[in-house]
Amino acid sequence: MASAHRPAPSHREDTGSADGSSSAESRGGLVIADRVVEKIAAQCASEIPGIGGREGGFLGVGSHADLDSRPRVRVELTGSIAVLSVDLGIEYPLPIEETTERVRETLVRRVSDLAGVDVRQVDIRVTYLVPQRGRKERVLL
Amino acid sequence: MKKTAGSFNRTWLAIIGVVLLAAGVLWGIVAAGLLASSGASSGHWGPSGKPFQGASSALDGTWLAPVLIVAGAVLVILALWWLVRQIPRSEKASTFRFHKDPKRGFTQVEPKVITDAVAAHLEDLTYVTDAKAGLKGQRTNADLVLDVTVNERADLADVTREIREQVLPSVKSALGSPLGSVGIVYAVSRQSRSKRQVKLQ
Repeated sequence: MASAHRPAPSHREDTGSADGSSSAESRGGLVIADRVVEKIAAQCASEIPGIGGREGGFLGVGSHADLDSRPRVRVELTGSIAVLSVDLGIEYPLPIEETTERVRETLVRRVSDLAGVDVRQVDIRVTYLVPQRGRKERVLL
Repeated sequence: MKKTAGSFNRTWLAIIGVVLLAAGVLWGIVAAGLLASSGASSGHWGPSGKPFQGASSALDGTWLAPVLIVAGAVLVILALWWLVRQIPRSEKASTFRFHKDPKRGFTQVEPKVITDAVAAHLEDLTYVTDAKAGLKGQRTNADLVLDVTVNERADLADVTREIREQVLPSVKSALGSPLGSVGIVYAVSRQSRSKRQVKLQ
């Protein structure tokens, strides 16, 4: 499992030491696993209107489109640089180019803010387009 | 959307025709004695020449049988290849790319993803019992073919109007660019597409 390593802040005033002599290294580091980055990215993408993932199935077989699910995200971490690969669905007929650009901008900004990694690239593969009727609706019998 | 071997056949028939025509012209020139009069052939192609002199000795050669077998095998392979090319193939569009700046990442969509959504949209129209869609060409100028099966009660003019007013604008919206051309193929069926529920709002 890859991980991103962030050194602890080097502010001396935040060390809590009485004499303020302990260094940042002595206070430890922060390690973020790639799966954490993936989940953060998937959640950020799912919060964008009209974006969804897949739900159900077993080992990826038999899953169905669901705009209320989180998209599938894979991350390649190199140091603190991340490259994301996102498989997602889009509500039809939203414009694909504009919608995916919005996803890309959102992921670059929010994942960098939340996980502290530098997202350089976001590869997006649109796996389905589902009409509005595909959303979960309340059916009256 | 099928691609047939029409142009392929025409090309190879033209090549074979040119070769046979050249052989026929050569035969005619030889038969007319023009080749002998040109002085290019004093022996084989002259009026007293024997073009096939020595052919009987070639028939006795041990190399002839393997050469004929190899030539026959090549001809069989070429014939089979030509036969296989006669099978109509689906002409698929390549993966559509929607990214503006590749440095920031790729955005890829298989044409089937779009055509499945279009088919689902078509099947929501009144009296449409089944639908298929096909895309080919580039994303910015794609050609769309719709294969629509309607119930026998359907008014094709109404269905066409619904497709023009509802389906095509959605496709253009999703692609983000106008379509190059649109073709609609209708089939009429006695089957109906009864649904278990109806959406009122």
